Amino acid sequence: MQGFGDDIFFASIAELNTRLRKKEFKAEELTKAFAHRLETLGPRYNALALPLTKTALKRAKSVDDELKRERFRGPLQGIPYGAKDLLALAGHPTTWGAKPYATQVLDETATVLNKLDATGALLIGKLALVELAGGGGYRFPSASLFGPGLNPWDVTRWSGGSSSGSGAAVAAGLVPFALGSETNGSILTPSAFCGVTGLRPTYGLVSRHGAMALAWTMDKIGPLCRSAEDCGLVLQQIAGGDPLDHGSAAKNFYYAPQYARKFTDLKFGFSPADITNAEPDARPVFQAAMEVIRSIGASMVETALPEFPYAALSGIIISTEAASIFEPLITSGGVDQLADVKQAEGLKAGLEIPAKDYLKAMRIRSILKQKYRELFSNVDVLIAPVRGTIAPKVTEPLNGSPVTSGMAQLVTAGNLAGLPALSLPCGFVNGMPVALQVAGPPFSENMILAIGREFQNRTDWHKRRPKV
Amino acid sequence: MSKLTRRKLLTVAAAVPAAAQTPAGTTAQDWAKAAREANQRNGELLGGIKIPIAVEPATIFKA
Repeated sequence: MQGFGDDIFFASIAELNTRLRKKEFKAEELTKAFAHRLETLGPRYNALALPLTKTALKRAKSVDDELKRERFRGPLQGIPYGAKDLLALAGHPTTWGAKPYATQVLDETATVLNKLDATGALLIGKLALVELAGGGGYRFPSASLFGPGLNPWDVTRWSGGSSSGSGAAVAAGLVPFALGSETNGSILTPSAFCGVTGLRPTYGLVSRHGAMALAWTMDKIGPLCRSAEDCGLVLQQIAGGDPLDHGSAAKNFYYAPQYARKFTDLKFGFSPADITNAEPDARPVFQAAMEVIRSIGASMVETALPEFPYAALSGIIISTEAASIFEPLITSGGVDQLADVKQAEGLKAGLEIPAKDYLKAMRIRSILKQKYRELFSNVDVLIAPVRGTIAPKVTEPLNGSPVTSGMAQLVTAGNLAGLPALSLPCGFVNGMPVALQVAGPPFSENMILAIGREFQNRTDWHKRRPKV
Repeated sequence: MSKLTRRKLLTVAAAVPAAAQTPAGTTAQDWAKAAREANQRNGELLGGIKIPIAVEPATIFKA
C-alpha cells in the first residue's frame, strides 16, 4: 500500500483528483488511508458517528476500474468524504445524533449521497452532530449522542454546531470534505470555529430529500471544505432540482468563478460596528482581514441590515416547525431521552405556539425577503465576521450573543431570507480560528465563491493545520 | 494546539456528563417555563408589528 505523508490529508480536492488520474496512487489506497485516519482520530474529537470503511473500499475498487479505463466522472471521482449523520444511507444506522433514534435504520438514501456516489466520491463515514441538529435550542455543547464536538485546535473547546463532526473532521484532515446542514448557523459556525471553509447554499439549491427535517422552510445542505474552490466543486455535484424535495428550486449550479463579475465592479457592504462588537483580542484580526477584503478592489459601502426582530422570527418559525416534525417524539415521551434538558423542554413548548404567531412570523418573513432584495440592489454582497468570538469551552453554557448592532445578526437574517453565505478562515485569536462570512443574494454562489477564492489567493489562513 | 493528554480528555469527559448539564437548582420545569415564556415574548413582539393586510406568509404550496 502507498505510504502517505501528512500533506495528502490536507490536499485540495483538485490535487487529489489530479494525482488519482495520474495513477500516483489508487482510490482504494487513498480511501484506506483516510478511513484509517477517520476511525483512529475521529473519536478523539467525538466526530465519528459511523465508519463506512468496508463499503467505501468496495466502491473504491470500481472507481479504480473506471480510472484505469480513463472513464472520468469529474473532480470528486475517487475522493473520500464524510456526511453529517442526519443524511440517510439505506440499510445503515442514521441516528440524527439523538438517543431516541440511536438504532434507526432507514430504507432510503439521501439524494445528495446518491449524487456524490454517481460522481465517484467515496463515503467513508457518517459524522457526529448536535442531537436533532439543535432543534428545541440546546444549552451545552454536550447535547449529542456522541458527546461534545471537540475542536482539533484545542480539544477543551467546542467544534461548533450543529455540524460538529463535519467541522472537526475536515479541520483535522480526516476527510477532504464533508457535508453538513444549516437551519440557523450550523454550517457557518463549525466552519468558523474549526478554521475550515464552509458554504451555506441558497435555500432550495441542494435537495434535502433523505435528510432529517428540522424546519422545512429553513433547512439547507452544504459542504465544509479546505477552500472556496473545493466548496464550488462539491456544490456543483450536489446542487440541482429534486421532485422529492418540496423546497427544491429546480436549479442547477455550474462552478464557473472565471465568469464572475470583475471585483472592481462590485460593491461590498460592511459595518464598522462589527469590528468593535468583536471580542477585544479578535478586533485586530478582523480589522486586518477587512483590509485584505478592501484590497480586492471592490467599493466598500457602509451598510446596515434592515431592522427586524430576527431572533424572535427564527425562534417562532424553527420552534413551530420542529415541534410539528417531532410531535410523535414529544407526545410519546421519547423526547426526554435527549441529552440536553433545555432542548427537550424547548421542543415540547414549541407545540403550544399559536398558529397566529407562526403565520405572523411567516408574513413578516415575506417583507424581510423583499427588504433584502432591495438591499442587494445597493450592494452585491455583505461581509461580516461569522462569530465575533472564538469557540467556547465545551463546559461553558451556550448563552448566545446579546449583540444586535452592525451585522451581528447576519447569520440568522441570511437563513430567514434563504441567502447563500461562505465562511472564510481569516486569522487566529489566542490560537483559535475566526472567520469572515460573505453573504450574497439568492443563487449568487459563483460570485461569493469567486470572492472567497480571491481572498484565499491573498491569505493562507485556510491552509493552516492543527497539530493532530 | 496544546497536546492532547489522557488527563485533558478525562477532564473534558468528566465535565460534561448528562446529569451535570443543568445548572444546580434548574429543573426541567424551569426550562419548560422559560421556553414557554420566550415563545410568548416572541409572539408578543411579532404581534406588535403592523403589516399590510395583503401580505401573505412566506410558505409555498404546490398542488
